Order: sequence, then C-alpha cells, then structure tokens
Amino acid sequence: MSSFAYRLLPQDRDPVTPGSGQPSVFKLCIVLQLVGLVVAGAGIMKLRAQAAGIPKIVAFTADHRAIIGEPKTYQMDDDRFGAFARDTVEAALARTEKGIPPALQDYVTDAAGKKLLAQASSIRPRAGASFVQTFQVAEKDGVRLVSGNMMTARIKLRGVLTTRSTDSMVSDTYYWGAQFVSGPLSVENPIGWRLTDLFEISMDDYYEEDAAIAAADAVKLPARQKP
Amino acid sequence: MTSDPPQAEAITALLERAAEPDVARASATPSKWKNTIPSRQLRTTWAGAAWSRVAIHFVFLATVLTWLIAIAIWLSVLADPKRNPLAFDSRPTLREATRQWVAQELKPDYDQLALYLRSTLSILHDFTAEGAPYRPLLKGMVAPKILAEADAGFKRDLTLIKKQGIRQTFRLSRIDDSDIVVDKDTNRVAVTVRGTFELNLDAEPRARPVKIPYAARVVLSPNTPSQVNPYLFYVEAIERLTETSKK
Repeated sequence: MSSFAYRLLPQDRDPVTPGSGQPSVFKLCIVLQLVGLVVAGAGIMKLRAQAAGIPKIVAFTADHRAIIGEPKTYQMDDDRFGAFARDTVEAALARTEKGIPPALQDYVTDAAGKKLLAQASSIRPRAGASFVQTFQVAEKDGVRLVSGNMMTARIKLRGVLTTRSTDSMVSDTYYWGAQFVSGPLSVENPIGWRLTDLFEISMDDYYEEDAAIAAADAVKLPARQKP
Repeated sequence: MTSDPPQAEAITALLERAAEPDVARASATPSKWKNTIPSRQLRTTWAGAAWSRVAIHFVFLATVLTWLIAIAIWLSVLADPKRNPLAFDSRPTLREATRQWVAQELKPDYDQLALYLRSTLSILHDFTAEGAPYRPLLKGMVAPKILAEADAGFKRDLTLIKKQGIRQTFRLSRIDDSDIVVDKDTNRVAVTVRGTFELNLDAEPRARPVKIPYAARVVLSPNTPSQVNPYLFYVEAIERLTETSKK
C-alpha cells in the first residue's frame, strides 16, 4: 500500500500474484472508521451538552459581597417589575440643585428626563440654595398596578416626599402616577423598561378601586377585582 | 478426470496463442516466473480491477481523518472554557446609585450640628442638687437608654451631690470638621466631641470649680423635624472615650 505502482499497467512479464492482503486491511480500516465515527459522535454530544450548560458564575454585589442563587431563564414578573418601578420612581424624585441622579438616564425616555429636569429646577427653594429631595415609597401598599401588558404599564405609587434644605425641611405623603414602556435592552438598563411619564395624582385617585369596592358593597353589587 | 475435447483444444489453443509473444523472452525470464500464467487478457482484467487498491487508500485516508476529527473534538471538550467559574461583579443598582448620589449632597450643616450638640449635651449633663429639671425635654431627641443612664448616675450619687451641693455644668469645646464622619449608606453622623465638666460646690463657696475633661463619640441619625424633636438629628448613642481611645 505504500507504493503507487498499481497505476502502471502490468507487463506481460510481471508475475500474477494473488494479492497482498488488501481485504484484511480494508476490513480493518472499515472497523477503525466506524469506531472513530462513534468516538467523534460521542465527543460532539458531550460538546453539545457543555455548550447548552450554564457556566458556573460567582456573582458579587457592588460592595463585593457574594450573591447566592442559581441562574435561570429570564422572565419579567410582578415582583421584579414592582421593585423596578419603585426604584425608578424613587430615583426620579430624588433631586438636588444639581438635578436628577445620573444613573437614572437609562431608565427614563428623553422626554421624561427633560420633564424631570425641568421639575427639579422649578422646585429649588431660592437661588443659590442647596436642597435635597427624596421620595420613599410606602412599604405597605405603596405600589398599585393600574394596567400592563408586554409593551406598556401604568402604576400608582404612594410614599413620603421629603425636601430638605438649609432653610427648612418639609415632609408629606404624595401620590404619583407613572407610565412605563418596554424598550431596547442596554448594559445600564438590562430589563429594557423605561419611565415615560410621572405625574401627581390625588389621594382619591389612588384609592379609587377601594372606593368603588366600598360603593359596590353598599349597594350589594359585584365588586371589581382589587388589583 | 476427462475434459471435453473441443473445449480442451480451445483452451490449449488460447494459451498457446497468448504465449506466443513471450517465447522470445522466455529464456530471459527468471526461473521463478516460469510457472506464472503469462496471459495478457488476465493481466488486463487485473489492471481494470486496480481501482480497489485506490479505494483502499482512500478508505485508509478517511480513517485517519475520522480519528483526527475525533481527537480534535475531544480536545475541544477537555479545553471547555466553562470549566472555570466566571466572576460577575455587579455595578450599583439604580437604588444604590441614587442613594450614593443623594448622600453626597447630605452633608450636615456645621452650624445646625454644633447648635444641636451644644443644646443636647448641656441639657443632658447639667444638674444641681435639686436634680436635672430640663432633662425631660430631651425625650424624643435622645435615645431613652441614654436618658435612663444619666438619671441612674444622678440617683446613684444623689447623696454626695446633695451633701456637697454639687452643680455640674458641661462646656463643649469647638467641634473640629475632621471629627465629623458621615456614613453615606445610612446617613448617620458620628461626631467626636470634647469638653469639660465643671463641678461647683455650693457647700464650699470658696473652693475653685473642679474641672473634669470629657471626650465622647456621639452617633446621630437623621430625623424629620417635628414638635417632639425640631432638629434634623437624633442621638442614637454616646460612647465615652478613654485616654487610650482618644486620637
């Protein structure tokens, strides 16, 4: 097999031999090839299993503390959206004489960002005075979902708005309506939802469903489901 | 064993005819080749079947390639980058980033802080033989435990205080900016205060006041002003500093 002499047409003077054992070599090659295919196939299956597997991730918080948990397929749910909405509105209502938090810009649309900046400049106590305004959503019944789907969501929030300056300090309960829209994902905003509008509502607006339920109970009508 | 005469003759004739060209070279042929069948037709048939030797070369080549591919696949399996755990360092969440940003602006006003400490600590530590009449005003401004400890200390030494007519006055020294530390996570403020207790003895009017140096770390938490506590701070704890713990 090491020679290519078989390409030459044998001369009549060459002896006719019965062969050099090619059939046994051929059978050996076939067997080796089948085994090789099985080994390669097993390797591909192993490689596929590794590719489909989730790598081990050791995650740390921003203050370098390890996070305990298992990665799984992402899915937005009410709890996650509630926490996102709460943080976003609290950040949107955190204002100083320097404006709004820089980290908020990826969580609001451009129009909403300009509106928040205009609001921040309008509430400054007096020219040159420094102030800090913070909003803390109530822990209990602080967020109510008005409507929501895959693209948009509207919520109502209740919390304490505190404005502190060198002149005075004011703290009171406020009610807010907020509208969100789902947009492209980014590194800074990995879930893609953004605040599009934030507007003050009245206490009656916030407890509208409760009033409707109370009214329905009063006349014995079937009440709407409380969100 | 007999053969069919016409068939045997035909075979013999065929062999003779086929052997004719080799007659001239027969003398030069090695003796070991003399028993071979010098048939051109047979050799032509054999040459036509030589593809099988080509095929077996390709089969051998394919076998080698199959095993090379298998080895490459398993090397890839063994060199899996997912074997090593990945580290994920989180950035601050929106909530954390907002609080850090706001905390940068929440530096306590020095004048308000100094006024609050001067008022609070003086009312807390001042007393006469008749008692500490203004200390109840601190309820809501100072942790109850601190007030209880002050009241217990006064009662413990009440006999001596009344006997010698001790009047204690607390004088707060100037608070240095470097002694004010703000915890941006909790917005709490730790202030190292220094001052002097002046003890005047009414029983001995001519005696000079006894001065006792005082140093402590006062931990303040932010407070929403109200009728109970009109200040922006609330005293959480007072830790007395000894000589060794002073700076």
